[in-house]
Order: sequence, then C-alpha cells, then structure tokens
Amino acid sequence: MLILSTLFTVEAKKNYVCDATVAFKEYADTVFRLAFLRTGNTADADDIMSEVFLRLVKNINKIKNEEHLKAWLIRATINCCNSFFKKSKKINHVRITEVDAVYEIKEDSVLSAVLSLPSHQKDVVYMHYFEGYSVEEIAKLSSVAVGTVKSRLSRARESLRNTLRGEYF
Amino acid sequence: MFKEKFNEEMNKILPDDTVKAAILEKIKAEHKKIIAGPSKKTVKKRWITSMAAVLALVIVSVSVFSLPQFGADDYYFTNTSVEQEGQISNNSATLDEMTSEPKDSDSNKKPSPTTSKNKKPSTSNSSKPTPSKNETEQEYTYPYIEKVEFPDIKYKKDMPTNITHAEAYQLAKAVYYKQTEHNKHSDDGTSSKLSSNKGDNSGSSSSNKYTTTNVQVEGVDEGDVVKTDGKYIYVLDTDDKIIYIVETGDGKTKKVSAIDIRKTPYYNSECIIMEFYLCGNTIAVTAYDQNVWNGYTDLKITTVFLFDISNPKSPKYIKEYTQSGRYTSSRLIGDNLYVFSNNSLYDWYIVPGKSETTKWDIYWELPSIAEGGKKLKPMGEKNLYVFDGEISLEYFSAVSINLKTRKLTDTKGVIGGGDDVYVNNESIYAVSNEITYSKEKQDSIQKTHIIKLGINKGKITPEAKSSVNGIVSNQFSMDEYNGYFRIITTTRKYGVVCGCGFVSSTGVESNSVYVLNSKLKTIGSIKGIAKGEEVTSSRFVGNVGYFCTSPLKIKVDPFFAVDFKDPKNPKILASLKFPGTVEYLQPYGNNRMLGIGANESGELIKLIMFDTSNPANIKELISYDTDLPYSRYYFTSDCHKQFNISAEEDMVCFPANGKYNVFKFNEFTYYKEKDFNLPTDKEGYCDLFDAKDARGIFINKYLYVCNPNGIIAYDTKTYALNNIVSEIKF
Repeated sequence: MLILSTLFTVEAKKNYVCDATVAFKEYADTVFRLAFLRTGNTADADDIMSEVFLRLVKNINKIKNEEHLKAWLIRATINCCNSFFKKSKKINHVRITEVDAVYEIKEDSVLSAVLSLPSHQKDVVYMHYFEGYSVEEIAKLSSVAVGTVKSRLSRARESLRNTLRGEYF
Repeated sequence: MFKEKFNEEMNKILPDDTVKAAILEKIKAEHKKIIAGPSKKTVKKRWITSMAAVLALVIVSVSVFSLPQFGADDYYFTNTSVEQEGQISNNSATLDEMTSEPKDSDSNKKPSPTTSKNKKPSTSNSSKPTPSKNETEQEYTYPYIEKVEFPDIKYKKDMPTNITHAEAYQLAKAVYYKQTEHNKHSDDGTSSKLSSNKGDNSGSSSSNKYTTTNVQVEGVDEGDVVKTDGKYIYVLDTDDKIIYIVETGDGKTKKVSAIDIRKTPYYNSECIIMEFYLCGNTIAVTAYDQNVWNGYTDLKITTVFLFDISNPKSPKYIKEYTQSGRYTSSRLIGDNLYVFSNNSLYDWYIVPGKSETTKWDIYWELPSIAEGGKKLKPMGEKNLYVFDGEISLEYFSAVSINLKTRKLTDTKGVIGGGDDVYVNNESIYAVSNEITYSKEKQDSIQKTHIIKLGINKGKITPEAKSSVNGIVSNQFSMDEYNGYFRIITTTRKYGVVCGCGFVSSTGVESNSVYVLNSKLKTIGSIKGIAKGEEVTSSRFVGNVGYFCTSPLKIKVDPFFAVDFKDPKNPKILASLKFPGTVEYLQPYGNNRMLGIGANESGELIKLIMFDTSNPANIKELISYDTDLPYSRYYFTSDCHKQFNISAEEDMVCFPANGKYNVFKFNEFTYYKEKDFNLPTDKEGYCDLFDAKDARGIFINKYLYVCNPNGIIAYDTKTYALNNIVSEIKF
C-alpha cells in the first residue's frame, strides 16, 4: 500500500498538464492585456509578463488543468501588479523615449475609459467582460466576497457610463 | 454594446514579438535549471520527508475505517489546502507550501477535486455574463453642478485660518463649482502626478556599530522594510504581511519570533503594508487601504499598527491608529512618529437615502482619526485649517503619535494636497503637483503647492502656504537651510490627450530653482535652467545645491552647482558635462559627491565621484562602469534606502542584478569587492520584488544580507572566500 501511494504521488508530480513554454505561447497575450490594463504602458506590462511566467516555471507542478492554469495566471498577474505598484509607488516616470511605445489610444475609446478606472475595478471589468468569468468565480479568484465584486462591477459600470456619456450602456 | 466594443479593443493589445521571444528564452533557461534538479542532498531530504508524510497519511487513513482512493487530484488537493492557510511555515514545511504563488487561486476553493477533472469547469457556463436586472437598469444621473458661493471666511493675512466643518464643506463645493465652470468650455484634462526618483543623501552610516536606514536629513528617520537595533534584525515581508525577528550575534542568526499583521483584530485583507519603524520597544507599521466601503463611497484610509517588542520572543499587538486619506509618507523624529495622508474631496458616491442614485461630486469626508478599529471620527474643528489663496480639492492630514507612550499627540488637517513631503527637525513641507491642461489653448499650467507645518515635540502647527511654477520630482529636490526653503522644479510640455482627461508629457521645457523665506514668500529664483532637459537627481549641502539634468536623447548629463549664499540672488556656480546619467546623489565625506546612475549607453549602472571642494570648479574624479545591468526599477523615489554608503569605509553597497554588491574605492577607482547571493525561497528563487527589498546590514564585522526570504550572514574579514557564517530561511 505504501509503495502504491508513493507511486501515485510521484506519478501525479510527473503528470504535468502543461509545459511553461506552451503555456506562454497560449497565454502570453492574456497576461499582457491584464498587465497593460493595470499599468497603462507596454514597458511595465512586458516586465510583469516576464515575471509571471518565470513564477509559473517554478510552480508548474501545481497546475492542475487548463482552467486552473488560466486562473493561476490571472491571479499571479494581479499579485505581480500589486507588488509592482507597491514597490514602485513613485517609480521614476517612464522616460519620454519609452512613452513612444505606448499604444495610441483613441480619445473616445472604451479602453481609455477602462484605463481610467481604479485598479480593482479594472480587474473586475477585465475578468467579467473579456474573460467571461461570473461574479462568483471572480470572487473566488480575487478572494473577496461576492457582494464586493458586485459592488465593484456596478461602480465600474457607473463610472464607465459617466465617462462614455451613457454610450454602450 | 460595451462588451463587444471592449473585446474588440482589447484584442488589439498584443505584446511585441521580440519581447515575447526574449521572455521565451528566459523561460527555457529557467526550465532547464529546474530539470537539472536540486542537489542530491536535497533530493534525499525531500524523499525522506515525503515518505514520512505518506506513512503518516496512510496510518491516519487506516485508522479512519477504510482507505480512500489516492489519486492525482488528491495530491494537489492536499497541497493546496495547506497553501490556503498562508501561515508562517516552520522549517519542516514541505516544498509546495513555500512556493504557492497565488494563495487564493480558485483551485483552492474547488469543493471536490475529482469533479473538476471530468466536468467542464464552471467558467465555461458563464462565458456570457448576464448582469442582473438591478445592475443594468440602475437609475442614472449626470453630474449636476450646483452653484455654491464661497463662504465668508475672515482670512488672517499669511496665517492659517481655523474653519468650521460647515465652512470647509461650503468652500470645497464652491471651489468645485468654480473649477467646473472654468473648465466647462475648454474641456480640460487633469493632472497627472509625476514623481521621479533620484537622489538622496545622506548617509548611511554607521552610528554605533551597526548601519541604519539611509535617510535624507540626519535625525529624521524614514520607514523601511529592514531595521535593526544592533542585536535583533527585523525584516518586513510586505506581501505576506509578517515581520520576522531574528537574533544576531557573532554572525549567528536565530529566528526568535514573528509578528503576523494578518492576525491583528481589525485586520483587513485588502490593506497594503508599506514600511515600518523601530523605536525603543515599539514597532510601528504603516499601511493603507483604498477601498473601504462605508455604504456611500470607497474611503481611503491610512493605518499605523503598533506592536510591543520589549520581549522580542513574544511580540504583542498594542493598538492601531487609522486616519483618513491615502498614505503619503511618514517620518520618525525622536519618539514622535509623524504620519501624512492625502485625500481627495471629489469622489463618486451614493446619495444618502437614495441607494439608486449615484453621482460624482464633493464627498466631504472630514479629516478623521480613529483608534483601534473604531469608526473614524472627525478631528474636530479646532484642528481644521485653510489658507487664503488658491485652494485645491484635497486635504492633507498630519498625525503625530508618540511611540514611547503610544498615544496620539496631535492631529491637523489642512485644505490643500500633499503628494510628497520634505521633513527636517523643525518643519514639514508638503508639496503637491497640479497640472491643468487646456485643450483649447494647447497649453498647460504646472504648479507645485507647498504647505509648511511647524513641528515641535509632536505638536504640529500649520504655518504657511505658497505655490511655485513647475512640478517637483521628489523629496531630494527640496531642502531648508538657515530658515530658507529651496526647491527645484521642472516645467514640462504637455500635449497628447488620449481621452478621459489623460494628458501625457511630451518633453521638458526647462527647470527652475526657487528660494522661499520662512513665510513661504518667494525671494529669489533662477528660471529657464537646462532647457529641454529634465532634473534626474538633486541634493543640497549647506549653501550649495547640486543637481543633474539629462537631455532625453543624448546620454550626457550636465552637473550643476547653485550657490544660495545670498538667498535673494542664487547663482549657478558651475556646470560640468560628463557621459551617462546620474539618478541619485549623495555627499561622500566632506568634499565629495557620489552619483549613481547609468553609463553612456544606458545599459550598465555607473558610479561617479565628483570633487566638490570648490563648488565653482567641480571636477569629475572617478567614473566607473559596473558590470550590473541598469534598470529604472532600481531608481525609484525611495531608492536611497537600498544604498549603504560609507565614506569612512570607502564603501558603496546596494542590491542589483539579483545580488548584493559591495564596491570599494581606492583613491583612483572603484572596484567590485564582492557580490553576494540574495536569500532565496526554498526553491532557490528570488523574484524581482524580493530583490528590490533586499538590504545589507553591517553589525560589527558581519554583513547580514536580508530580504523577505531570509538572512545570510558573512564575515567581512573573510567574505572574499564566500564563507557563509550562517543562513536562515523564513
């Protein structure tokens, strides 16, 4: 029995659902988009993307399946962005030469309205509207109460309605 | 519809292919390292641990009637359930406990591990979210601007005026109305607040036999993530919200206890831990939280947690103080801790009594304070002040706490913002940048508002308010000497508007230096310095101010010295051009100024030494390119805390490139004496953020390299041999 259980454990460890390089090819865009929404510029989003996938390599044996991988990556991106903002609360503003790399965001675009939201509202809007997670799933992912997610989402909608002058809603 | 439009725009956002290729290479390299595997010793240890764990599990299983099926998912389930607790792990913790990145990932909460394998996870069911009726059909009101007259306040000339709550509220409304009216036709953008980072000063220094946090003004301590009293080292892990207490002595390290901030009675999981202070038997931790829902709006609060460490083996939670506003900064002078926060008066909120109606308007939350998790209470009208003149829709709160008696000493609220502070032993100067962009005129007005508050043994007195043109980059651009306040500001060009009031800087116009007297009246200035170049670092030494500016494209920095001997008539004494950029300046001994920045190509970190014995004739003594790759992440506005610079020892130490680097200086050049590995987690990994939080502490002849992963001690006499005296992992 003892040997059998040990074998199972080892087997489970070997049975990786994903390979980090495959995961990167598949989900680099997802991570980048969320990081971009949070940071608002490509230079920081690139750094966060790199950090998230390096963390994935270290934790690859904990990934259970495709869905878990995606959730893990989103959660790790949010964690990384939080750390990024905390550690570089007053980071030297991006040099103008680097600003050139920023996407040209049209003045009246939905994206620029989303970018102006507070970070926790951006997360909710991204996960709900782009990734299609339900309120309950977002609550689990970001470890807050369902009510909090609902209120964030409704406040985000309110702000968006305000900035977009009622368009799209 | 919003969803389609949003998805369409989001789909266009894609990472650059070359960046992706570079990251892919990194991943492959990292993957190879892992495949190479841990040392034999570790494998053996792990094997024994896992066997023991399996044995224990089997015994337990047998004792509970029948054996459950032991499958792949159970393996993960058992591991993740441990992650969830997020407790401090002891040394026998398994590998997986330590490496759980997303503690809250959804897998932790799946009720049954077996279901997730076959069943499609619930995500797919909800790919088309249908917002509930209530949410979509909420009544919506456009912002309604109500005309409000300015209150009749009898302003005292050049003095702070005490006002009542009602007056303050009316004032905020009137300012808002005036601003909105003013902006109505021009459809203005608003301010983006820019701070740059760079330089600091002072010295690290070794008072007694151990090094302390590198601060700007001697005698004014600044918060950090690592502190020591010479015997114990305290390391704050801001992610896990734990302070580890480690006893040291002759290079030995022993973890004696830990303070878990999450276990304090009023802990809120969303609070963000910033830094901490050590004062006698008290530890004060500063934190803030931006989303405290009070039923109407998201409040921003700043909290100070106090812990008693008279017995470091069993630290105790004492109490916490909460004040309204976003955390700006804090300082410790003697036993008095000053905590500063800043709050906007304009916010989104639900109209009380009408839960369906929401609007953006003045949400008047008075500067408030509370003790030990109680409800915030306004500071009281006698502590609320306003100055005649320009008024912004923000207020600045300054609170002082005596860390010896652990009691509040004073609280003051002043209308006007504070994004950054310069504090010396007598005064607080709170500055806020205001950038107003007019789309019509395609021009911007950039101002720095300054509020001066006097401090004396914990008592805070508002003294004066003023503003100068241009925006200030960080605390090192300000200084007070002989009662004169000097400030360096930069005027930028603004232009590109990308919607929603977003205005971007498109370049730099010029820089200015102002001298203000004790009443904050501008008495002297130099304008139009270094056109098109931005100030990258600055430092004041007595009557002379030094700063470096950097043209954006050419990496050649001019280094300026400004003489303030005659405050009414400051003069540029000298300017020296040298290759590279300097992002941080610190006086080094008496007649030297050390600069740290990037080399000419911008690829490597560079150390540069100036001879400032004659400020009118500055010389470049040493210019040394290190082998460390330059990254702007090293040079944030609080980067001075990472540096350990000692002129007596001729030594410059700082963490970079995943190592703790020690540079020595020998009259002619710098050389790298040694680099030390940073403490890593149990998987041998030290991430970007732990590397940034690394600090080196010298106690007697030992160097302790600390970060949230652990502490490694080296003997400074023999460290060239890479002898680790002791090592501890948290």
